[in-house]
Amino acid sequence: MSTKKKIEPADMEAQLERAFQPVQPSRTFVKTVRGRIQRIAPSVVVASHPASDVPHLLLVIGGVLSALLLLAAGARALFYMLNKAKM
Amino acid sequence: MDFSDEEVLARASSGDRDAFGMLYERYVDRIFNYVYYRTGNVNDAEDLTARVFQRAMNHIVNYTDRGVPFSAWLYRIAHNLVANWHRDRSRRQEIPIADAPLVAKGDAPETSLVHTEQRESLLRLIRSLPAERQTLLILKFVEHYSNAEIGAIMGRSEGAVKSLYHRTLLALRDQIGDYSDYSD
Repeated sequence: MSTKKKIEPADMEAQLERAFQPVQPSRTFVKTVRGRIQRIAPSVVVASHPASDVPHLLLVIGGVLSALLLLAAGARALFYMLNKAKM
Repeated sequence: MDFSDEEVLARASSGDRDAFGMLYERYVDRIFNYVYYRTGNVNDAEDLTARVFQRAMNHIVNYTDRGVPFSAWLYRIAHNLVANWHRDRSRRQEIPIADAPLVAKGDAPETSLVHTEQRESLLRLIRSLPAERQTLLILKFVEHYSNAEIGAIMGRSEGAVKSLYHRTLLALRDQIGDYSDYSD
């Protein structure tokens, strides 16, 4: 008589152990990519994202805002003087 | 001289290509194995592995140590690239795992063939599982990491990994057909 039996977790693990055998990339491939890493210009590697330098970013934003404020004040003074001259 | 991962990482983060090369040599086999078992063929595994290290090299200066192993960062990059690869190929037909078949020594040819076919169908089944379950199985059976190490890589607790592993085994068993024949 033929009946059915559940696969035990241990058997399942043994099957997985057999299925997953470590594989090695070819030496040619490993050497080629290693060579590519060496050839990349250092400037590409060390270039940091500008947004990651927060104090520098704040300084730039502050500088731009100050310059705009200065321009606005200058323009306001100019208009004031022109209007005064007309009157 | 043997440097620790932390030392090499610090040097690599400041743009030292030799240091990054050292990291590459330490991790290339592991990443290749992961990608190989996620894609099922050597050519794509090589291409994606190269891209993982290319991307890692471009972003190593932004790498911050958050207490998780460096390998977790690499596996995360590999996971994202494999996900993109699957998305790109979703409309194409699946290529069966054909390379590097394992034939047990001493087996009769017909027995070896049966083993190879069983292995291939099991791997196909595994590749149909959700990505995180595949990752878990690869880290456990190829890299032989402990549940705690897998948890650190996957960003889960040891208990959560244990539970996920148990559920994965049950799901696989159900998909295999649940039962095997035997005679009384």
